[in-house]
Amino acid sequence: MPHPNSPEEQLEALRQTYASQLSAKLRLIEETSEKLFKDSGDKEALKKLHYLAHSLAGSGATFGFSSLSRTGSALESFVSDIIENKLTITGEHTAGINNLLDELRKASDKSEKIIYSKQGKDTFPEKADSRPIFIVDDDVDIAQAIASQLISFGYTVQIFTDIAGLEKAMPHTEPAAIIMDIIFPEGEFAGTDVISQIRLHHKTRVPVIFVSVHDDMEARLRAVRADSDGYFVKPVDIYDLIDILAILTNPKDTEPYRILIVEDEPELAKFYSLILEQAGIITSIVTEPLTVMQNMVKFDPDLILMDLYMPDCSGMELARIIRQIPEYISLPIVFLSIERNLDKKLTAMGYGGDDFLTKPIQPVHLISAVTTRVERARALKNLMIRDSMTGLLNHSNILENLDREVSLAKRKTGKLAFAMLDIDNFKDVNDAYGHLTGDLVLKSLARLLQDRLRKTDLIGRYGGEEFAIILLDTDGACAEKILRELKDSLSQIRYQSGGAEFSITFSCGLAAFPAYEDPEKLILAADKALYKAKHAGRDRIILAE
Amino acid sequence: MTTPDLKRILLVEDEPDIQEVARLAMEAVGGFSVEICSSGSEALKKAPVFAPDLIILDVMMPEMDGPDTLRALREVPGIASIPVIFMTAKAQPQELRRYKEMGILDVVSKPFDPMTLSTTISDIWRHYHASS
Repeated sequence: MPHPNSPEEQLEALRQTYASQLSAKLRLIEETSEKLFKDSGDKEALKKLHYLAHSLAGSGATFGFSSLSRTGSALESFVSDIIENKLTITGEHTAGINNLLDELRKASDKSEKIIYSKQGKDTFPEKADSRPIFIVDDDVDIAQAIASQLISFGYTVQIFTDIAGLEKAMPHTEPAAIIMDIIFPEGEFAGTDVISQIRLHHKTRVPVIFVSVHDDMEARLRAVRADSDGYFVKPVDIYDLIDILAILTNPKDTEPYRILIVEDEPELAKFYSLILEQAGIITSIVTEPLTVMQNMVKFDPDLILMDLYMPDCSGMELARIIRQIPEYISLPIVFLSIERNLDKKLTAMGYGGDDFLTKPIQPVHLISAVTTRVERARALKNLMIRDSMTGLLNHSNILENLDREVSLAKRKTGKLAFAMLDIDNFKDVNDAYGHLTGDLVLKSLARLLQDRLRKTDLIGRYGGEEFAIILLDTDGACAEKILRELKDSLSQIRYQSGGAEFSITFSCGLAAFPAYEDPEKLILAADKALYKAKHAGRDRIILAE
Repeated sequence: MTTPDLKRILLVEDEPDIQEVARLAMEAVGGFSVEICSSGSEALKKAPVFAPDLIILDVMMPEMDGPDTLRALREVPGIASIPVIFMTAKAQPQELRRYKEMGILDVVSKPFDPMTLSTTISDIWRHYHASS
């Protein structure tokens, strides 16, 4: 219990004051908007609206109103777009602002518990993506509808109602993805045209999903030619859209490829390494084939690029040795050689190679041969170790990982925490809103876990509505803190189903190593703690003593 | 090489809500001595008197915004070299770059967590001194 006038108590008092003043703030925003709607040339009103939205965006979450911050930020971007591009305010802008005002009202009604974002020098390193999703559609209602759903899932969103706005923003920003309409006042296919242009000049590849009333071949072909990642026909099924967004913005899948180069000529090895590294691939070189095994363990490659003819040990022999190890049965191996004899090449493939590249090799061939193989290998690996619905590690894989990490922790006398998390009353969600919504809730929680936990944390789907998390190098108290923040994040999310809104909570049992010294004890303790949490009223986290 | 102590912070922020919660965050939680100004012009008057170790400037303020205030502060001998942190609700990469080019220590984004704001500021301070 914090004692009187502790900072926490003072903060609570400030929050109450803020909450009581919120309706006056909103009234002011509404009045300013009215002024703007009456006279769309009123620059003062426009500036004021911008300032007020900015103020809400910057204060909301500090005082316990996270959605207010996010919605305020969306309104601020919307207005700032109008100001910067000197747009005339149309009926659609008016509708857009009104929609956002509605959202603001809703957000201010619900006093939420606090959730933050980490700033600058993080206590929790390597958080996942909080870049915005850009929504570009001249139909403001549609843009808003998508935006509000995405916001309620915890995404940050920026709306553009015209192409000029997007073009202006792109050279300077890195959105996590763009949801793009195709038809614009500029033309029937202005959307795909502008994306093609952006792809030529932008420094990185941004995922793009097209949405359109067009369902014909020409539109789809243009989308494909603009290198699209998805295509939805309006009205967009938000569930499908979110599914694809989750895959496209999943940080784990965008980790750079790792290639091990086994080549006895150092100059040549360096040459391959340079080519690959320029394509953003991480490489490691082995010039002595007999040392390849320890290198593999340390480096954990996605693929091995191997010279066929080496002293000490030929590429074929090495490939066979590698394939003896169950773990490496499907690790892609690509041979390199001047060998032009087809029979010899085929024999090499028979010995465990996946592909054969003939020297001298063109850099572009090297890169494409390697990347397609790695992509395929990763997809296959994921099929085996991941739960298909949520993309999280599956039950057996998370247990294997726990075994491994506990051994590692023992050797290095490290620390580790194991959490079991179970959604409260999930059956009620399915019963009230249907299984489709239930699935969406699971996927959304999976995404939240991946977003809010650290890159080093291992997250698995343990059962129907149960999740298991291994927090590496973390003690019980720290893990509890992390999970509490996660719990707070979750409480901010309002799921929507057929016009109704609801939120979910979870119960969590935590056990830490070395207090519990082996995987079985950790699982048992966490399970017991989870049971306690459920029977103590749910929506809580209990750390096993 | 030890880091000099951070004791006195001047905060320039026009919104009363944020002023109060930031004071709480920095005084009660962080133990710093805090002076608050509601505008850039007030900051120009108070800074030489209060002699802060660090100045935190809100970016979006009416009349004189953060960057303009920074420029004005730099004209005044005695306070021109006090390190500055910007605070803003909007942190687009191109803006961040522009601010960094103005020679500030870092940018703290809003909304901030009142319980960890002082830690963030201390980290920035330590980081700045470690690299100079």
